[in-house]
Amino acid sequence: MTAIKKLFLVDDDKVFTFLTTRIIAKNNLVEQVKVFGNGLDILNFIAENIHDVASLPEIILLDLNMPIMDGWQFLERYIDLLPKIDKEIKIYVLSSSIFPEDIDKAKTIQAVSDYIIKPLTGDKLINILRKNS
Amino acid sequence: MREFEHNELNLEELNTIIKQSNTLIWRSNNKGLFDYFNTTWLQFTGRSIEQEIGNGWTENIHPEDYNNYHETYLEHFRIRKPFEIEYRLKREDGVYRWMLDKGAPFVDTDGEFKGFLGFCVDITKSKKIEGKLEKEQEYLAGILQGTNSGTWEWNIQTGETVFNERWANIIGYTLEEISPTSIDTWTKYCHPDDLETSKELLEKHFYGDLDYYEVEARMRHKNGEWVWVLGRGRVMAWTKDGQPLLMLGTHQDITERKHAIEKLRKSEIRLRQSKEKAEQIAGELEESQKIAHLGSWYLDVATNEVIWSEELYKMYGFDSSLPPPPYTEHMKLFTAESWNILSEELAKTRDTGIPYELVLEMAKEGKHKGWVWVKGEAVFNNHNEIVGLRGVAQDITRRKQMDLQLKVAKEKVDFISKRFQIMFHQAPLGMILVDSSTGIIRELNPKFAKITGRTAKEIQHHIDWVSITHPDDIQEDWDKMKLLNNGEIDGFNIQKRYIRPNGEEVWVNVTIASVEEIGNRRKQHLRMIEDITSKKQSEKALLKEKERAEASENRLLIASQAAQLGIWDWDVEEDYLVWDDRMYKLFGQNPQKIKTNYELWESCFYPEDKERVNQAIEDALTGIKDFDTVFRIIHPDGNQFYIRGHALVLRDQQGNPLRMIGVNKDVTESKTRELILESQNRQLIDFSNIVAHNLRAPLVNIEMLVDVLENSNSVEEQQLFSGQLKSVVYHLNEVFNELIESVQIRQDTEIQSETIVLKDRLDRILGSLQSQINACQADIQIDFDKASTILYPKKYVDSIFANLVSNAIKYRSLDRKPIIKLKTEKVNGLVVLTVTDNGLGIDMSLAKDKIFKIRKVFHNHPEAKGFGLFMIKTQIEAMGGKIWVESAPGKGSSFFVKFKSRKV
Repeated sequence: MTAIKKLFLVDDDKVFTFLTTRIIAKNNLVEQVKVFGNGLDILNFIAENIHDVASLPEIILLDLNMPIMDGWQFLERYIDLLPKIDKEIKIYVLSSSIFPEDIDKAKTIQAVSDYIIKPLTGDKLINILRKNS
Repeated sequence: MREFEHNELNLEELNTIIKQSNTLIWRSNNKGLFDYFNTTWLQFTGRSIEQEIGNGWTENIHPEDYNNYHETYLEHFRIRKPFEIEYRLKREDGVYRWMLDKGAPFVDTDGEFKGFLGFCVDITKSKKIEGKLEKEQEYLAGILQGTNSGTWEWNIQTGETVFNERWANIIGYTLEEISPTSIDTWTKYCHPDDLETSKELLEKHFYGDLDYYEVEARMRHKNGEWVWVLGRGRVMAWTKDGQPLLMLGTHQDITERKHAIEKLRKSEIRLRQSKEKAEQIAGELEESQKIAHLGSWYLDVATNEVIWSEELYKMYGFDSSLPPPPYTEHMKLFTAESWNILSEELAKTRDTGIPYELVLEMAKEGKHKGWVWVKGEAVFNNHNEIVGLRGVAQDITRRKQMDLQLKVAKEKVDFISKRFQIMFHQAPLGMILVDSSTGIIRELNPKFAKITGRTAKEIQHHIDWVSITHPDDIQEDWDKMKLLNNGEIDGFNIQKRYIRPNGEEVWVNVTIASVEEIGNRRKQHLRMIEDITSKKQSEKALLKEKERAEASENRLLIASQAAQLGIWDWDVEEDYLVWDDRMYKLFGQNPQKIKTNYELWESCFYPEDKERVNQAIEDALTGIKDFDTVFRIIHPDGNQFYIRGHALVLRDQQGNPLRMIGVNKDVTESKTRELILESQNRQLIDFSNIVAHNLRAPLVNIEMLVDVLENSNSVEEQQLFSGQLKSVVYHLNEVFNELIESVQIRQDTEIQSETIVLKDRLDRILGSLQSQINACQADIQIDFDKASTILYPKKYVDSIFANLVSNAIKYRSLDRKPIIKLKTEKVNGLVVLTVTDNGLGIDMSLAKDKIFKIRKVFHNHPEAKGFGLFMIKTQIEAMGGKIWVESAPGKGSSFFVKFKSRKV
């Protein structure tokens, strides 16, 4: 299993991002974790660095329920950007919702690799990274 | 053997007959004054007995007929002989009817003359039919009168024969004296030898060898002498199987001519016998020639000397004191053709002695002048040598003209009768000729046989119309036939059924007219029969169809009433809209007041739905899709209802819409229920979302924090995590409370509305926000003039004002001084509040419908919680109202609240 260079965590819940970043760091499998508070922030980041492949992540963990731009709205706009991105980015929806409609809806979106119900445990993280290598 | 006793009718029976008879009966006394009229008479003239007696009734005779009647009556009364006369008599309705009046003298038991008894019959009907042939007959009569001919009409099949007065006069009788007449009358008076000839000639004519029957025959005169008649005739009608039926002809008295020729012959014999008596004989000859308009001549072959009689000079127009005109002059008397024939015949007679008889055409200066009959023969001596020629000539111009005219007239009659025959046999209608007294069918055409399902042979002379008629239909026909036979009607029309031998019923339309044929005095009538069975059947089917349609219409009516359906029918082209009563009720309109067209319907639509419904109608008309739409309408009283409409479009053959027929149903109740259900459903989904995201998120955090707490050995770390745990639990509690609050609003059905002065409530709220307003120096502008009060729960009004005003302050732009405008107005009877700010604004492309959802925030503002708008939306919608927003980032937002005071 090779280490992941960059992983972006998109969530407005500060307690959650703090704890999750801690779990990821403990596993020593990801070189860098970057946190974004809402969909718009990460969207702007990707748009700005679209040609700088090194600065783009291999994995995005995306919350759905966020202010300003939520996860769904981000995905809509991200798909528009996709043709211009010269890097394979895996997006995992990471949500507290166990609502089946949310899970089904996420799985219909091509850009979404999987739907993970919070919390993100060490086992779940290893699973993601295994698939990714 | 026992015989029936022969009893005369008794007086009572006679009286009954007289009273009830259809015949008009009168009596006059021995002074010729009228003293009795029966009831039928009085009913006919419509006058009282007092008016009629004496000579009173004669006032009603047509003025033109009066003199003739009066003379005839007086004359016959004087000689006490029966009379028969036709005149016009005024009926009670003022119409003159032709009457045949027959009167006869009567005597009492002692044989003493008591007066006249008579009866009248209305013959207008037959008069009218006669009228059609009258001209023809007048024409013929004129000709016949001119030639002083007797006439005869002979029905060869029955032997019935009708003669005119002149026919009888020729043999010295009156017509009355030889009546009743038949063909036997002719055979009785005809010379037996000539009867044979006549029969032979008739046969030839019947077989077609001769165009005309023509015979010279002797008849016994009343005085015992033989008179010569020239009989001519022609068959005018044939039976279907080619037998002669009716023959018309004339008799001309040619005795004088015959006698003249005879006398001439005798005198010439005498001349030859006695030269001495020549002078006397010549005188006689002259005399006889004068009588017969007969000229004679003699040619002495030896000397070529010609002698003309006095009459011949006269005939040819020469002076009798001069010798006969020379050959060249004589020639000019004839047409070239006639002269050639005459010359040839003369030469032949002169050479061979064969006599000649010719009809020559006379001419004067090249023009036709007339006809002459000539006869010539040779005169032989004792050695049988021809010594002379002699001849007679008679001017027959007039007779020839008469014959010619007669021929034309007869051909005309012939043509008419032939045309009738063709029409009769080939007509698409059934036609029969029926004996009126027996009802027996005498003649029929093939179509009739077909209609009645029998052969012509079975029918003709065997079947009467009654026996093939449906029993139920006989009476009406019978009754009308009585009227026809009485002459009260000219004809009639009836619909009835025939029964075929196989039992089938045939519906027919029968037109009946009485006919009287010339030479046939038996009453008969013509029936024209049209087969209307199929028409009747389709009528029946139509009737059934109609009944069925009516029944289904009734069912439809009941069903539509039960379903409370309004029915409408819109004539697309005429824009004519028909509503049933229910439609008017559904739309809250007064049936009397409303102009019924599409505009009426459209005027009831809820403004927001108008375009959609019009489009749906348009789509139905163009055929894109059927009309099936739910739309809102507004009653004149402002109440709003949901209507569901279905419609069908009827089209012409080209597919153009003609009519649109549909039903409308009030679905307000179910629609409202549906809306409630929809909103409850939505709330349930919202609730699930809240649970999934807003409640589960803090729980996840708690779970994770508890986990790290358990595994942490560092006190520092433990303090950090438990601090975070506290804040998460606080957050969870907050969300939980909000959730409960929102659920409470929805369940708070008992909340009381009250009349609220908006300005008062706003002032209170502004007071509580005073420190924030002052801090940012916000400008609050208020305009509640258009709607200053509202019926609403006080708590909700406060909540709406507090949230909207505090939001406006919270999300103000730091670039400019905040201006917050609050305004009310009335739209469709409802109060609408607008709160406009010049703040940060919201990107509506991102916010969409989420702006009013719980825990949705759109600004990175520390105080943004995403609960206020969710709260007031829940409250407004709980009352049946609506809240929406218009916004542009960097410019500001406008929130609109439509208040409804009715709890849904």
